[in-house]
Amino acid sequence: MTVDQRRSPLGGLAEEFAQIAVRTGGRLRIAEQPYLRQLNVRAGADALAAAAATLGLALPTTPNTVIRTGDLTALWLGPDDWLVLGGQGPEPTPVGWGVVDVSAQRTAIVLSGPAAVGLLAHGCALDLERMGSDWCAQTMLARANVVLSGFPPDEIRVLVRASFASYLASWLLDAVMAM
Amino acid sequence: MMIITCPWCGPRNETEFHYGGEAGVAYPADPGVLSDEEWGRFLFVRSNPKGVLHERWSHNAGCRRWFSVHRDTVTHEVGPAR
Repeated sequence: MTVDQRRSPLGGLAEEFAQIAVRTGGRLRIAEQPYLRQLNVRAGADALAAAAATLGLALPTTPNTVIRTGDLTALWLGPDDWLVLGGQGPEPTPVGWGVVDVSAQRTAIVLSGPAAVGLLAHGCALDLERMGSDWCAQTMLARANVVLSGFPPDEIRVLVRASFASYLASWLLDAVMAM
Repeated sequence: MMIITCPWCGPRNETEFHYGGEAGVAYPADPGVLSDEEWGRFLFVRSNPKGVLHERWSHNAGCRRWFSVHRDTVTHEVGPAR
């Protein structure tokens, strides 16, 4: 039997995060989603169809939107730049486009509940209330570069660099105190 | 805080962007024939108007794309490149 020796950037804060749901009466839940597979996809317009066929999902061409298929979610990062979340196994072999497994680059913090938007508003300039559920944005949250994405029904996932994760988690825990 | 509209991501705070100086400064066609003074002028001398300036910006914290805008150096009004 193999023992999973991986340690996620926020693995030590699970208890603190769990306390938030208790303190807010369930209006806000925060949890890390560790070891989420993330693929960075670069493809020009002529390779979009090939990339989509190999990956098994279409890539959004409208800025700041996402496309979901099964357990995969493709986030628009730039006109030739996407982040594909979810799935398992090694990255597929690209032909005429590029893919890099960047799973260890960022960790995901999942915020859910009706108070999630209000909490992020303490440190994010975007009007998240008007976003709906299928959006993404690269922006700053409390001075950290993050990728934000809305997931149905009421989740917001914050993808933050592993080296910024403990700072951002501390900021979130502090911001909860102000609610 | 200026609000700059990225052509891809839409309006964002100025803190997400990196300033790239005046736009439309053409690289010399034949740099080898330039005198030191002409080369220095290409590198360092910019129009610096009191009014509308054509500028390069990079959306560092977002899509990481370079783009041009017009900014009024008096009012800080930012608009799309004309």
